[in-house]
Amino acid sequence: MTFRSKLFVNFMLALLLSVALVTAGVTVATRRAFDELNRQHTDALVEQFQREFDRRGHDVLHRVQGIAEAEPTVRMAIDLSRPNADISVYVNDAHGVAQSHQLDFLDFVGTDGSIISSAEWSARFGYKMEWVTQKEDWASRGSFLMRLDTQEGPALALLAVAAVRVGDKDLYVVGGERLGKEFLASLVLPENMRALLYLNLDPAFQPVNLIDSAGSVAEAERFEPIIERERAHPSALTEKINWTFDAASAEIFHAIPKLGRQNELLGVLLIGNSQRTVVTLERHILWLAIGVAAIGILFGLFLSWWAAARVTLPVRRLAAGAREVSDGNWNTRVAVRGTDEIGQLAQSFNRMTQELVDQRERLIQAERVAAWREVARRLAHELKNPLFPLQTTVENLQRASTQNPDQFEEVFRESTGILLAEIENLKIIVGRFSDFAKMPQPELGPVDLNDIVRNVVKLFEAQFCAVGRPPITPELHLGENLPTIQADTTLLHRAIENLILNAMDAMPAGGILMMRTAQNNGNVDFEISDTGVGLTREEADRIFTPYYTTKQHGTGLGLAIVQAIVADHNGRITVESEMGVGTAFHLELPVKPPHHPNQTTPVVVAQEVEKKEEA
Amino acid sequence: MRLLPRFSLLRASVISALLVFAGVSARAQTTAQFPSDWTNALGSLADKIAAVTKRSESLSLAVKNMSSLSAADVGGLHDVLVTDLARRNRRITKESLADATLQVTFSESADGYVWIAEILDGVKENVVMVSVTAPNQKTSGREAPLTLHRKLIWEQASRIVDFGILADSASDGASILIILDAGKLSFYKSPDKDWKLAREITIEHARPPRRDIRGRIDLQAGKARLPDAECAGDFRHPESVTCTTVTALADPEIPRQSIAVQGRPVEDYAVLAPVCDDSPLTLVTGQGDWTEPDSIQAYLGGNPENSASSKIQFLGPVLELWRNADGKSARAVSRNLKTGTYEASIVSVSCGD
Amino acid sequence: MKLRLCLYLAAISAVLVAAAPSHTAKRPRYGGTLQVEIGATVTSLDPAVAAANPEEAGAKAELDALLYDRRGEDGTFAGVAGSGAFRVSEWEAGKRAVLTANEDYREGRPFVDSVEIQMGRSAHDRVLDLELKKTDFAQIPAEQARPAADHGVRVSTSQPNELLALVFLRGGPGIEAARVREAIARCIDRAAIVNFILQKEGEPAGGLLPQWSSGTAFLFSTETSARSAKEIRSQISASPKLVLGYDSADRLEQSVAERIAVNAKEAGISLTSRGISSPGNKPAHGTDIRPGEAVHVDARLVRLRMLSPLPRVSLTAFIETLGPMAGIVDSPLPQSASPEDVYYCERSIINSGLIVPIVWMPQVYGISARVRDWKQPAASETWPLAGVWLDSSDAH
Repeated sequence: MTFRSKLFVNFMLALLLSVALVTAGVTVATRRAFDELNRQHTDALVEQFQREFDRRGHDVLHRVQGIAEAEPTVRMAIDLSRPNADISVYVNDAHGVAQSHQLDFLDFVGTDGSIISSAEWSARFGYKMEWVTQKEDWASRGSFLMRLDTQEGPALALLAVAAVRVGDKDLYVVGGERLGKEFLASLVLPENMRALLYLNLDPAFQPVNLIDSAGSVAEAERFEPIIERERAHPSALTEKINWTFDAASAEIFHAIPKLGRQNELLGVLLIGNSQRTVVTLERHILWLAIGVAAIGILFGLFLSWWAAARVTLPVRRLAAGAREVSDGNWNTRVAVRGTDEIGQLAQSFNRMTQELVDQRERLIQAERVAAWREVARRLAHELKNPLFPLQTTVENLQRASTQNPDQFEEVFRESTGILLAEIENLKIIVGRFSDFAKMPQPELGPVDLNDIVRNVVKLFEAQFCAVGRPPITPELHLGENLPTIQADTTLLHRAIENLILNAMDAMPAGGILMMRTAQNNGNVDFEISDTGVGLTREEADRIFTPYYTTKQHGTGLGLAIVQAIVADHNGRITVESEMGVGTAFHLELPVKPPHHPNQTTPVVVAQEVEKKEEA
Repeated sequence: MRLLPRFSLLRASVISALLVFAGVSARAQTTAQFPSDWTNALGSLADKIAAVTKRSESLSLAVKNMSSLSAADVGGLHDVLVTDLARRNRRITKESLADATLQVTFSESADGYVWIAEILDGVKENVVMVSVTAPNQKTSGREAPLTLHRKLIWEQASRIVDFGILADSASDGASILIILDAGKLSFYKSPDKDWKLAREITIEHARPPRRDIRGRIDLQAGKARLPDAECAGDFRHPESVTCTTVTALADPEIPRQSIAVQGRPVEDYAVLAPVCDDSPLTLVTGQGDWTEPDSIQAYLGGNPENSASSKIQFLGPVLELWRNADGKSARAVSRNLKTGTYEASIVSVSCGD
Repeated sequence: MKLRLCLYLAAISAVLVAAAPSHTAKRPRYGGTLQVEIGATVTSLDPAVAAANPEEAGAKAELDALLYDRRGEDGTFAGVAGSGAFRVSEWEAGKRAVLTANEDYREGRPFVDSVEIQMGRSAHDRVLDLELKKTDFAQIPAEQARPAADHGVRVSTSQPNELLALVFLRGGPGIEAARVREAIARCIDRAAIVNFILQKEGEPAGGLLPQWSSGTAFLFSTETSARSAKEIRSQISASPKLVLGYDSADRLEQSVAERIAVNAKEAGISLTSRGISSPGNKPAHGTDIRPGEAVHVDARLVRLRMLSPLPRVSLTAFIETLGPMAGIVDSPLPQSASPEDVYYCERSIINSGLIVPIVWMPQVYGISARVRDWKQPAASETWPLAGVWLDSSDAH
């Protein structure tokens, strides 16, 4: 992932995280605020309801008492207190009085509880309203809720009772208002809130008994659970109703029971808070957050582009330079202006590469010197071997000539044979050295490494199964679609031959010779492993030294030649070995053409990076 | 007990016979006080009761009055019914001993009286009934120093404007009743108790007569006047009377001097000659209008409290009240609101009870 | 003698002034305009045009009785309009009419010069106008007789001649249906209806004829037995729910229907009262049954006025009206005018349980003080306006 991408991702993450945190925080805070607001509204509404309820109760009581104290009522009471009073003349009085006092219910009840006149159910005259005559101080009782039977059915009434006493007889005035939709309509409700009233007038839950200010309530049956809970245990309850699958449709209802004179449940006030606003607001916040995030992303893109232009470009340049260096082009310079840290870093990089180049030069020279010293040492060592017998033989001749002249001819023959053999050795050693020294520069061309491997293996097939030696089983695991590499076929052929020869020498008892090719990040890897005796660590470290060998035969230049060929191809060769298990050589050959190791002009990465960027 | 041996069998028989005779007489006397159709109806009722009860069944009898019959009448009818039932072997006994309950109700309908018997023997209830015509209401005068008497002379459907009686004036000695109404002048003779039509003269009118038509019969002058007609002749000889249309009368109202009562004029009154003392008697009608039953009461001059007579009740308004020529009585034309007929009555006064 | 007579007359006058009560003028006076108010709206006096409702028909009959000379046995009026006591001089259909006295009426010119009739006045307005002396004559509901009298209105009440009955429209087969009807009949509190709703103007009705007409009305029980109604109800397995219909324009019927519903409720029977609006009338309540609306009504209240004081005539008319309504096939009619025949016929109808008489109501008229010689018309009689006269000493 590029720095720009990382920067972009990090910026996005930071932005998204910030937005998410802010969104969550705002949402939670908003919900809390709404919940608190709703609670306050609910409390206020309940208080308002109770105030209105009390006010109406006082008003009803006042009106009923006014009726009781009015002269017509007193006259009625006086008239009815007489023996054999004719109560029929008053049968229609309640209706007019109720209308004039704006009462929904009004009954004049005699001392024995008989209804004299009823405004709400005029036909009930003569029937008993016995609860009125129960000994109770109606003056101090005030108003109360009660279930009343009317012609249209049971109704919930806010009643008050006043008694007019004449002698030992009472005339009761029972008046009140209907608690219904008109009462609810008088309440001032905040937005998103509504008030419902359930009239508990029937033995079982009846949807029609649930009313609001407009009358019946839609889907009233949804309230049955909360109502049944109230009926079972009258107390303040809260319940949420989701009207649809949409969360915004939810409503939270607070139920407040209304009890009658004998603490029976007569009504349930339900105050509903619609969640639509808060859910909508939450959704708005969420969409806003998404919008902000989207804008942020776009901004981030722009910023990242700008950052790339301002910040990552130098870094990229530095990175390109580093890649150049890693590619072997140590003579890379990064063109970065500025005195900030990036500029300082670029300067340091340039110094570093320069130093690397110098050190490489010195190292190359030192290696050359060391290599020459080693070659000289090895050559001296190699030459010394055949030179000693030469010297000895010549000395033998001298002795023979001087001391045993008769044997001189025989000694001469032997000595000349030995001299010729050792001279031959010297010629071989010099020839190999010459060969090693005269290794040509590789002629690069597109090469399929798999083909080379196959060709080399074919050459050795006979030797793998040679009679008299334990067989060696070749295993090829050649990667498919291996890219062609820029290489010298002949040299690679020779290198692979040397490696196979070396592996064969390591498996005198036979074994498995495995060769593998694969592509690896711009390189082509070649691995050859055997199941031979293996190398010690010291041997592995020196295995590529010219003239170093662990074998009884050989010049010790084979692997050095392989290393030289690999180096000429700008590749790398490593060895892994384990005693008794085997040895594996790994070759990494670059796919792209290698830089010429002798190039001394620094490559200004800037242009290349810019070119790449332009591309 | 000791008394009993003193009475001989003969005496006991006599007494029993007397008792029976008394009962029969009482029955007869009771029956006699009722119209024959009433007693017949009771008999019919008893027959019907007997038809639905058993011969040996004893009955408890309860009587209820829902009609305009007086308590005395109801009592009398009760006795007659008991007697009739007894004749049909139906015993009346106490309720606790009775096999069945007999509830007799004297009721009244629009047509007349309806007498209903409900027989309940514990299982079944039978209802039988009879109907009789209700008579005119009797007048009952209140005891007072002056007693008014009313004698119904004539009644007819059409309105009686005036009437007069010529007692024993006919050639055969019969009395002549003259009835003037809007359409005719009628002469009735009474050789016996019943009036029979002797002659009827139709009175023609140029225009339909007024609603409250007034007229007078002057017996002495032999004239009968209507607003637009006049009949004249010898009323003793009806055949001599002729009626002609008169168009010259300007004022159809027959003027009458009114007397003031509490500032309001009263036209219907008649002043009679003194009867009990030297004070003239003034007969005055009641205070209602012609849709109500009316009355006539007599006043003596002076303190009304001491001098008022009992009232004669009429079943309708008194339309005309005129002093007769003899000054001792007045003639009254009234309307019976119940039957709708017009009645001609003579009202007289007597002293004392 | 004459002087003495005059002196006596003067003394008597003084005596009579002290002794006699107030108005004593008895002889009718001619003149004046009689102000009449009616509730109905008569749109046409043309005999060929049928009345829209029974109220209009009744008012039309009253007007016809004033305009026509004779009435045949079939009830139709014979002769020419205006041959009667009055003639129409002004006519505003449905609003107002002025009838002028017919000078040539064969029974004599009416006492009043004219009769001015205001139509379409509500009962409340009629009573109010009587109290305010704005009108001379108006028919008022029976239940308002006492309140009107309490407010100084002169009230004339006839004998009860109008029957209010409950008729079961669909008799329904089966014992249970009959038991339901019996329970309802037993639970009706007639005394309360008479005392409270009718304000004691009327009497409980057990039979189809009033006591004053038949003399046998007392044989039909009017007792209420809520206990026996409950017992009968307990024997009924189903839970009957019945609808009792009444004329939505009739406040009295509404009050009675509601009361019967309450009585039935106490007996455990569900009986709902619903107003039925007749064509031409607006529904008085939202729940009223509109004309043509298909609503099941099990019973309804019916008001029937006696056509004649004679028992047989009225009973025959009632049976001919109520019998088909109750689904009684071949309704028995009284064979003769004897009280027994009439009674047994009446009893058979009552025993069917399909017709339940409730109350007898009188015709009540409010009459101003200046109207004299008002005679309460009998059952078959019309308003005797030709015979009344106006006492100018009590002028308005």
